[in-house]
Amino acid sequence: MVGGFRWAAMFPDEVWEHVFSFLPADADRNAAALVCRAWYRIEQRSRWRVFVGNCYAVEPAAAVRRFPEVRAAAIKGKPHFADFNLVPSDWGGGAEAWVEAMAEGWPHLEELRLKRMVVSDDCLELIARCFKNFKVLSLVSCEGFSTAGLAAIAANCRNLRELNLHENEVEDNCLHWMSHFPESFTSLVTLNIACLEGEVNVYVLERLIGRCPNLKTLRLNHSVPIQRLVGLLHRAPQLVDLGTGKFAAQHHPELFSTLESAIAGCKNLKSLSGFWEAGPTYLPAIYSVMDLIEDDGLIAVAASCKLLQELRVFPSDPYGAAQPISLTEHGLVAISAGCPMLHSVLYFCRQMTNSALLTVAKNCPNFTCFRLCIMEPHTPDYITRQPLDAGFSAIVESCKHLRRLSLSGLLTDLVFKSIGASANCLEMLSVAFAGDGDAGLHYILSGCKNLRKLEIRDCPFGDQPLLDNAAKLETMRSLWMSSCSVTLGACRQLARKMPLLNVEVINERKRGLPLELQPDNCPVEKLYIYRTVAGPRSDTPSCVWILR
Amino acid sequence: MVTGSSAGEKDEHSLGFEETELRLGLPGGGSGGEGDVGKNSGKRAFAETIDLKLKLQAAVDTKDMAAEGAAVKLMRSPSQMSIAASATDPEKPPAPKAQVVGWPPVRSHRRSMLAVQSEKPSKEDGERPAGSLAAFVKVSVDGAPYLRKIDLKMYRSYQELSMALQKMFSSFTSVSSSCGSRGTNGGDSMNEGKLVDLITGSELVPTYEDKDGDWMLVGDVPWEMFVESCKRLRLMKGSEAVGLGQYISTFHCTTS
Repeated sequence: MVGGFRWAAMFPDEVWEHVFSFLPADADRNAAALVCRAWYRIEQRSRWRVFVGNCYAVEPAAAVRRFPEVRAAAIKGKPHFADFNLVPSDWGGGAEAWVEAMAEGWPHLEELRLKRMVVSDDCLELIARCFKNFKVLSLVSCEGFSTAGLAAIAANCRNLRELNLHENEVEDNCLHWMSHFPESFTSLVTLNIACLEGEVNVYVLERLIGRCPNLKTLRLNHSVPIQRLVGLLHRAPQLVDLGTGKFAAQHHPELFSTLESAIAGCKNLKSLSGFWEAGPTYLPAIYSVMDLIEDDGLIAVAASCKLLQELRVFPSDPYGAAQPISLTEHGLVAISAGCPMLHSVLYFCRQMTNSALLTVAKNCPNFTCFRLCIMEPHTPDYITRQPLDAGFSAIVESCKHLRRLSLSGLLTDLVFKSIGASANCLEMLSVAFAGDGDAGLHYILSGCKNLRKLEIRDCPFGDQPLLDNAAKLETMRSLWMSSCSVTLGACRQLARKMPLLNVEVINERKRGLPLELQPDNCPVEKLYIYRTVAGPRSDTPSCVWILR
Repeated sequence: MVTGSSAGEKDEHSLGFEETELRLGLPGGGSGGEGDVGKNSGKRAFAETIDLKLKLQAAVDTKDMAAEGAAVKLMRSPSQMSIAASATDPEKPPAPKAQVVGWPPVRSHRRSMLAVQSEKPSKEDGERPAGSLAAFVKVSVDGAPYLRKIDLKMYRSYQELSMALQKMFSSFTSVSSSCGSRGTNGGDSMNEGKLVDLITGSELVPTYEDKDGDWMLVGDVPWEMFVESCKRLRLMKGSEAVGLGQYISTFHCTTS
């Protein structure tokens, strides 16, 4: 800052605020805030939206102080591999500290989005009581709350627009929670209760939907039978997004024609999810296939769904013995050829070839997210028996905007060399059962300049690449490594060298000496490293050590 | 399904690690129904199990070739799956491999979706005996571009199954009018009508894959035995089913 030159005073603060509102990314706003004190102050007062990618990266009170006028907050807790039971259930990610700080410092908060956090009913009650103008509650992959907490939200949030419950573990102890929405409540735009296990009172739901004329998204759970679904659709012809959750329609195929005409009555419907017969006559922008599908089905999708942007194909029988299943690389290739707008793929299968991946890479240079899971670890190209290095290399070389990548199959260090060199936009990389040695990890950490999240399991990566690339870890949000070849000594060194990292060692076996007394060559089962300005957290369970 | 193999043979197989791993062949080591008259005499299997054997063999070879120090990798990776020894009884299908924790990376709620369906008795659906696990099998119809999955425990007879299949695939099949509906007579007969492929007009023959991987005609064994042994269903075009024996044109059941 040039001494004495207060050029920021050329315009009133409100003008700068307006200028800053055009900055597209928080990173840009952060940069503006560094220019001079006046800009710092103005930007600080006008930041309404914060995203905290790791709830332990900053103290809640500090975040609230830093940006006192926040209206919308999004916070994430546990590492992604918690979805697959790799993170101990008591690891952390509790929301209380955040909710309490926000209730204190952000009374005007309107939107709260939490992902992979432990949210108690007390939290929900606090939210319901403290935020007078609360509009959006989105809980994704959370746990720790019950329908009693939802009742508090329903009863008190008079201006609620969005209640999005996506893949949470919710205890069902209040059957009539939805009845707590008062009769005067009409503001709902999004209601997603697909993850609720319990029965839903369809009569109450009908009345709720009937009095909310702006309802655009409705995702129900399994308990709404098809006959009643038809009634709901008649009350909400303005729907844009409809989901039937886990509904199993297999026993009522004759009702489908009734349902189809009810759906046809919703002229704005763009998105469908749930258990469906294959081949609806609509062209949804995002099509969640929840029923059984094989290559032939995907070929049909490729032929008809030309607007398809995102495809997710999950295994119907993930733990069964490998039965002959006709979902192979051919389905993926067909989709890549037939759907020019496709940018995001999650695909589980049992076989793959480099040739197929090369074709996919050529067909879809616009991929932003490519996640391939070949179910059997170390599976090579089933025709050539070669590793799949060439195939995945083609993906990263062709897809210049790739932000997320998950690898699988037989892979050597070569694929990591390509990724490190070519994946310049990559932000998240998931690796399992791959690589030959340290070089693989070194390629990634010394390349991939935009890497934010790296999660690795069951790979032969050791200490050296971590120590050699310690500085890189501070440029990333987090690193997860489990069942690799990292030793305690390297973790200790890393923690000493990098004070702005929390180096968490997770050891669930609980036998032998406590970790402080273990020697340097003690192998580390699970390692979670993340940058933070908050220092070591105080809520670690007994299986987690934070090294200093 | 009764096994008649000698005790000595069984012991051999239960100790042989590699042998049990590859064991997907015909029961009794492929030599035929030695002492196993009840099961083998009625078989009209046409699927070769040799192919399955070879595939497994190849997968094991690849693992060995995968990398130098594969053995070291196995030691270092505590969550690496261990190759499970199969059941000591060679008649049973090989035991499922020991699960690797968190692999494949499918969220548990998604995994248990079908389990939830089977455990919750729905008011809308038919009755299933309380406490029994579901028996989901895939149903494919030659010519239809999608599969369905049904729970065999929801039906009590071949007749109920036949009616459900007709409803389910009604857009691809019709019931030929030559056999009039006889109404429910409580019997196990599926003579109510032949399923006919709408496009080609040829009959659809219901077949199923049993626990040994053999393809059988639906209706040969008592209903309960069928539910226990059926792994998947396929409504096959009549021409393909020629090799399956003399019972082509109708569902047929001999109750024992």
